[in-house]
Amino acid sequence: MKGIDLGLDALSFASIYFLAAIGLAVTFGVMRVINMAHGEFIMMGAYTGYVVQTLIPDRTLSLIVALPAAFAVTFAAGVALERLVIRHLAKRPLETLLATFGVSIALQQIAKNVFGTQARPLTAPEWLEGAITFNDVISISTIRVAIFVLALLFLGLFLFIMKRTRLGLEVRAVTQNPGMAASMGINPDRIAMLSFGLGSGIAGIAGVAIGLFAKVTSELGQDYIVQSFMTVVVGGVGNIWGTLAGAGLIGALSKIIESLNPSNTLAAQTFMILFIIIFIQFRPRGIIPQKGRAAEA
Amino acid sequence: MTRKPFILRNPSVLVMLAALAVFTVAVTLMSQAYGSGAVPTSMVKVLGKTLCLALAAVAMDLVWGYIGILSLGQMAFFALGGYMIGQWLMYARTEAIVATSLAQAPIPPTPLELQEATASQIFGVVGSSDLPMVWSFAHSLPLQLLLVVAVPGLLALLFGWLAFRSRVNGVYLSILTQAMTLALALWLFQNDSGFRGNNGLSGLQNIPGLDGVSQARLSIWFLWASAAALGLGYVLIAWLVGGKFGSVIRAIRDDETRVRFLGYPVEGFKLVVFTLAAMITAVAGALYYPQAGIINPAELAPIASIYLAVWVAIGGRGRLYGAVIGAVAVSLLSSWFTGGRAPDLALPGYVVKWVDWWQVALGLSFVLVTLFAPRGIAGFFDLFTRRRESGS
Repeated sequence: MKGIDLGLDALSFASIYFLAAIGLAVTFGVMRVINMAHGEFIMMGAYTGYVVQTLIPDRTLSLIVALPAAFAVTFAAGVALERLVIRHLAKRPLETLLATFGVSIALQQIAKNVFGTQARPLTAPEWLEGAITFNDVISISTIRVAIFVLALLFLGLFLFIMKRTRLGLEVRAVTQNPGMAASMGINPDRIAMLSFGLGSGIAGIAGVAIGLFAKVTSELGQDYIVQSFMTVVVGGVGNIWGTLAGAGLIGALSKIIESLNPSNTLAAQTFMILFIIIFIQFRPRGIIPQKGRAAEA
Repeated sequence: MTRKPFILRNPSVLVMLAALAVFTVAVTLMSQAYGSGAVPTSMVKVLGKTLCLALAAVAMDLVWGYIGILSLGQMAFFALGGYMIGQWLMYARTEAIVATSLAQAPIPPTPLELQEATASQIFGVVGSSDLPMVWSFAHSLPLQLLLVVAVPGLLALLFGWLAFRSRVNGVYLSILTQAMTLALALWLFQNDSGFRGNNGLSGLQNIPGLDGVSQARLSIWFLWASAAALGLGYVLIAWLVGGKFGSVIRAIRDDETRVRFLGYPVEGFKLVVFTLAAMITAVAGALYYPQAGIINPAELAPIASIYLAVWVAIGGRGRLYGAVIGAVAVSLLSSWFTGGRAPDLALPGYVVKWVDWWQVALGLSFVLVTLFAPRGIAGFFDLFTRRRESGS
């Protein structure tokens, strides 16, 4: 009984991490670019949800509008960031990290100036507010089920785009060998821009989902950024199944450690990070390492 | 060709030391304790702290600019140094206070009673009255001073050994160092970690045994100590990177694999540099926090270490004076703009309040520096010296 409850908790944790990290898996995995502003894109998505909700009072309708709106806003922001900054730093990955960090603190402060330091509410529609109760021990709030479904949806969508569409084919080609892809008539710059926009857009949608259960503040993104990177690194770069495995591992682990010592969530997080540091010793390329020429880059 | 002495080969070291000396003497002559009083004591403290940050930035430049490890966990070592010295400062001072209050008692207290009373005084705030194991050496200044370099040094050695031997590098290493500082911060935030949780250590500006000395005087003494530490650290690192060792570590930065194939133990070099930098950073921290007066786990937040990297990048990495310039310029500007004393900028239709918008300007200027001036401020000095060389 307790085990099932724990498993459900771990599952919902894992889907949150997965949602936050899947966008990173695209930008980091495809382009080898560390986007420190990824967390701020999550925040932008959450604030977009909030703004839409102030305009449209009906919560179900506003949520339906907010998801594509958040995608559009962060897609645009991602494309702008790629074109204006990241493209010019293609050969200097460490400096990209710092430049995007500059963007990150600027965006955080702008959010603080526009929306204030107070947490803004992003309320879920009523049909998401209850909980599904099986018995006394096992119950799960509907919103977590919705996030799990959303994560599954994104996994499916991502796989579809990558394996079944022209764009996905081109993205995979550019990941493996940009030079060869270019000589086959693929424009690597355009692919880089689109995949960066896509990754950012997914971050925006993750932001709406996270905003439904967490407080929307300008520091929202900061809470997820390190964990998101951990998820991608533990899972293995450039592989969606790796990201899934990483999210599952981190979600399960943090719940298990927490259940051993429930009074102390700080210790749980500390031990989880320590575990990850040690884990990377044994599998420096993640659970599912990339193979072939692209792995050497 | 005979080899010129170290100082003559590196005129920038001489310039830096001279500038530091002039600065220190000037501040002393304008201080409230030893001079005209034009510089208030709080300002002296800010300047002293800035010197410590500059030392941390020089060490950051050694690991990032010279051997190419973008460590995003340097502030962990900085804060650990501060915690180690803070333990003695807080313990010794509390002990002195407890001793005077117990002296009135009819029976003089035993050492054990004194220790227990001190412990409950320090840890009452986190609901404990026992002295944790990690405070075993807090009564002794020499031991804690040793720990200031030993603890961060050992942490860096262990972490570096684990990371370098499995060939974690590039952005992975950066994320890993960031995880390290986050883990340490989260651990320190706990109340039962033995470091007073999020209360941190406080009252560090009062130096035990120096009760009669005013803060004005103390602040100048700390300024001298910080300047001396910065000067020594600067010379040590400049000497290190100026010789053959420096050539090897720069080669590692530029092409690690090739250096390894040439037979150099790359991991060993990285480990030495990373550990040395951690120890220098810890010394800087140990001088910083007595001037700040308080240390808490928020100081270890990953963002603080990224700021350190930002300073070095703006100043110009791969040049030690660049790191000093970057740290001094950006940290002083930041405290001026966020201190509320900077005049508001009136644009048509909107008044820019710097308290609100400084972060935005800083973030964007950082993007601009990386894009258009990858060598940072120090790059401008290069332009100047190159032209002179080609002209002669």
